[in-house]
Amino acid sequence: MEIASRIDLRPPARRRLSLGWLWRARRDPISLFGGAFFAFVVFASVCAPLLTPYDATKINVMDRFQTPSLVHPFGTDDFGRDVLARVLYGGRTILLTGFAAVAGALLIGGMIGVVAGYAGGRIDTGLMRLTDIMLSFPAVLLAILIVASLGAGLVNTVIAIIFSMIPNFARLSRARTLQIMEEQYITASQSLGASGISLIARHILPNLVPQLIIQTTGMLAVAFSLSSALSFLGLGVDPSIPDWGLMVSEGQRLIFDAPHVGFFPGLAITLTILSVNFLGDGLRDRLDPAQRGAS
Amino acid sequence: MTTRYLISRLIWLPVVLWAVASLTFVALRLVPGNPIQSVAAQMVDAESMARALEEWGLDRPITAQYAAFLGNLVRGDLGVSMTSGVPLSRLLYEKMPPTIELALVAMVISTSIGVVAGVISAVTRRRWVDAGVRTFAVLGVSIPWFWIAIVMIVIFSVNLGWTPVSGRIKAGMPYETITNFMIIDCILTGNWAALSSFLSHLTLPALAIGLTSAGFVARLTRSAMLDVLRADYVRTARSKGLRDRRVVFWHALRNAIIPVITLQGLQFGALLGGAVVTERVFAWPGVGRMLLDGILRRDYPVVQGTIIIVAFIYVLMNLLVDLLYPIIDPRLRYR
Repeated sequence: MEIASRIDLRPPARRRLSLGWLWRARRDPISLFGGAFFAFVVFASVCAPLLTPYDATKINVMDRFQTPSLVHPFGTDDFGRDVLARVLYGGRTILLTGFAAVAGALLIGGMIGVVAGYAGGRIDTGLMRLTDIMLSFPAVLLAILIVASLGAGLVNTVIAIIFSMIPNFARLSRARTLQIMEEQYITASQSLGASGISLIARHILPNLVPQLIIQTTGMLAVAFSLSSALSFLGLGVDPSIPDWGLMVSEGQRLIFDAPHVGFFPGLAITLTILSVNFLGDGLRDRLDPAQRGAS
Repeated sequence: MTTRYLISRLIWLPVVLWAVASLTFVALRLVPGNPIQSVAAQMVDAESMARALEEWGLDRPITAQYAAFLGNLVRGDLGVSMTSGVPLSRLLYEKMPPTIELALVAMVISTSIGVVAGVISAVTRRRWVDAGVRTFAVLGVSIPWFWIAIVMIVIFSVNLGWTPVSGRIKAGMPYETITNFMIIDCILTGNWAALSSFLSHLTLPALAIGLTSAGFVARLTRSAMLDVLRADYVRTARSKGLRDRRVVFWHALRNAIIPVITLQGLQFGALLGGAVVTERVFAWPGVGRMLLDGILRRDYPVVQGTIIIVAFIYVLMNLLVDLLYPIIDPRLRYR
């Protein structure tokens, strides 16, 4: 009795959500800046029509190859299209593909990981062998294989990125599920007759959240760079849609005549990915103190 | 323990290779329509279409095609390009060396800069050095290769005229091929003009890849160095009165370099995948460009063969890193 009462069987207290984190974040200006800049990118692409009077796709032969000026802050391309407008609208493509791909990979990969970790045995071995095989391809190559198979386009780009990221989410959530399953409160709930589904829903999933948030932010950066790389190669979205990767690729043709055409969309890709990475660093320090200072 | 682990990895290897090959085969058969239709639009009449299908074995059931594919693969036959009729083995023999060459030189650049910067940052412990290394590392993983490469082309090739815009060697420059590795071939034949032309073409792509990965190497070296410098044996070495430089480079760096070697081993495989992007920018005649051309021309034997070979190399590199680990780090032998 004595010993049993000393064992803590309660699930760990869940952290309450409060705005205190914002106050504490002042000590980490870099990740705060990252978050703010990323919010700005999202805002600018969503509100693109309010921020520029120009149409991103309308061809205007009279205005070809304008260098950056007050009228066209980022200049115009070989079709006379305003590069700033195309950068603003192009942000939508990369954000859409990136967010959709990460959400899909999080959902599928997370599910595979939790099921593998919870079920154990042959199901675990089977599912993990499957992710091993997916990890046998370099991420870019797996994405290219899927696009080569399904064809280019927005939806297929998302599918390709999802597949190349599933193993990362599956591995992480499996490892974390195994850790959680070792906890005493899980044994306690099991002995009280809790069903598998309720264990997963009430104890495993909520405890996965911090690590998954960190992983999701990191993977968002990866998804953005994969999406832009695929469209740069001409294997991504339809060329009629404004897209940063495509714009850099068009810009490469014009390096002698108008180097600014490819410069600004590339800068936009870099700054977006950079801001997400800074944000992710800060989140890791905050949500996973054990990892602080690592890597 | 280690021997058992080694054996299990080696037994698992053929299974992984089989799965990689099969996944590639299946994925490329999902293409709607048959490959002949997409490759040769001019073959409109049914008779020549049927002949082509028979010639490529595409009229047979998918299971028979798969069996033939596996059988050929085991014998090292990856098929024949549908657009040029050249066997894949021949194409890979020509296109693999340029890719490996570029990846290796880029890795030499990133390792040398990264390790030196990491050691300096760990030893001096100056905040600004550390901040610089961290920023450089995050910047390196954030900048897309294709963009930084183009920026470098605009600055160094177009504006300053220091390096050629693209390609592997000046057009029309005579050279002999023995191994297809340009550096080796040029030295063997004593063709110094070709060698200098090749090196000037190599500079920008290698720098673009090498510099962007150097920050990451520096950060890893730094954290490994900081761990090691705290270790007892380093303190012992210092208290014996050894000179600081000898302690840092002879005692500490030897252990701190281990994770860096692992990272670079894995990085090599990733570079082969990323080659598709860099080779497109610099018109570098390697497997990456071959793969991209293959996809655009829907030359599926080329796509299939290239992806399989690159994935195989990636798998073998990962295995090699795992197997080398206990050799480099004797502490791991007894775990």
